[in-house]
Amino acid sequence: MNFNSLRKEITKNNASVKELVSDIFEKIDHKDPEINSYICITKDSAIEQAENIDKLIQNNEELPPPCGDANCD
Amino acid sequence: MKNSPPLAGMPIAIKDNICTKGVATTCASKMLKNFVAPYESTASNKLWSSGGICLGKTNLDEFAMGSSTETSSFGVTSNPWDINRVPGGSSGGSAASVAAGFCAAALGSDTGGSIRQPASFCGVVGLKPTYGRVSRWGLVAFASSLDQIGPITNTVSDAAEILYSISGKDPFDSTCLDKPVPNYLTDLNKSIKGLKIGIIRECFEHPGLNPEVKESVLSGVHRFKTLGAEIVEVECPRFNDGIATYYVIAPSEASANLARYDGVKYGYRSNEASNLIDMTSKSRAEGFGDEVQRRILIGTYALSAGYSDAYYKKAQKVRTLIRKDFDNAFKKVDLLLTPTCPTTAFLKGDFVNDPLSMYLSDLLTVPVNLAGLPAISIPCGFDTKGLPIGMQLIGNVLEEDRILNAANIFEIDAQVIKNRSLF
Repeated sequence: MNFNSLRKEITKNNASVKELVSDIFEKIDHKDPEINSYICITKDSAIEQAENIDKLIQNNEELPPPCGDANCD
Repeated sequence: MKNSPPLAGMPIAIKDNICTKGVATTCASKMLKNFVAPYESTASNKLWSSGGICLGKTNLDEFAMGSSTETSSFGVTSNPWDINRVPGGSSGGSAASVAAGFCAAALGSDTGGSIRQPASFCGVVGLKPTYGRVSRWGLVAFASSLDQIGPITNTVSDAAEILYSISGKDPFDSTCLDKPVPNYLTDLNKSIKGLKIGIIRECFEHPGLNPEVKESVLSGVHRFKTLGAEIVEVECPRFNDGIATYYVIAPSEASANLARYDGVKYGYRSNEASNLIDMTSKSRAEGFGDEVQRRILIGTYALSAGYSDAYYKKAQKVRTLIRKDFDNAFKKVDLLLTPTCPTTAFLKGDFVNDPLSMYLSDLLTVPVNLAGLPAISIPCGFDTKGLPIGMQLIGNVLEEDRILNAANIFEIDAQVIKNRSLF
């Protein structure tokens, strides 16, 4: 996974940002207990932000103010 | 996505010693287990402003003190290439999450190699920027004259994008440089014909260097030659004094920085204390793990009256000599090249009871921090166990663009990591 491969998925309408982010969280849920790379995940705020970016891409609008103000799930 | 911000929709993880507003920021320590950051770090804030999506906070060695992510009070992180092995550290959670495909990129912090060493162990790209290139506002302080935030990614190009997003002057960090930030993507594909790359002799002659690592990195040197670079052997006589110097300076600064965790205003407070002094003492003894306590003790000793001249001030003088070695080398060459680490990822538990051997894992990375220089680790091959090997490219101050250019040309030509879907 890298930025260019993700952008290709998004621009070709193969997947929305929300779908991509949800897939990653599914992978984290299933596989990270073995790796233990995360101390906490911020799933709810990430999905919300992904939806905002999907809207932005659809409408060609500017991104809302910075996020990162989220609660740990 | 024509008008979208540069990182729109890119899923990014943040090392858990970088403050994220409203989210627990634990430093992987019992001391900060329940600490929720009241503000956002400048570096992460810039990522969100650029459209990046925060997936969560990644594991690390407690307070970024370690080389294996084994000192975390949230459990050991496994290396995705072999779960019986460590991912390196201290940004082991960030490197492992990128390698495993649990995010597209992550922020780490590098005080003595904590971005580059785990990147090397996990087969990903790790960039430690010039000291002051990226704001440290919101990075929980370990050793303030050495700490620097940087990206861990799957490609050099992604590292360039992140660096561009997070760099620049910050009024909240007086050590942050007021220098223009170039677009690091512009020259990524420029030919490296005629680029002078210096091979630091002392690194390749070190007895601790694993022969397979040496061979792989020298193959990388040969590849650079075929790509048109000019290879020059250079000497940095004080390079191997870096570890001894670092393990005086970093603990000294840590002992001062971690004095704030006294159980009074925030952080862990012992319930067993009967008076104020007892409360501070017990809170620190119960809240900090062994490695953090060890470094606080070393640092406190090195700074104590009667010993600071012999240890701390002497170490600062050696630091200047190390920096002068680099200055002299950069009069002859454009970049320097070394292995990132003397070995590939070691087994969990190998050095838990032998901290001095663990410290040697950072032998080839700490001199870069002591000199405040930028450096990148990129995958250059594998050992016979199938574990990734990292190669380090070191640049002069603020020459990240040159490092990224050479690393990108190498990455495209070598195609070292063909299948990143480890899971």
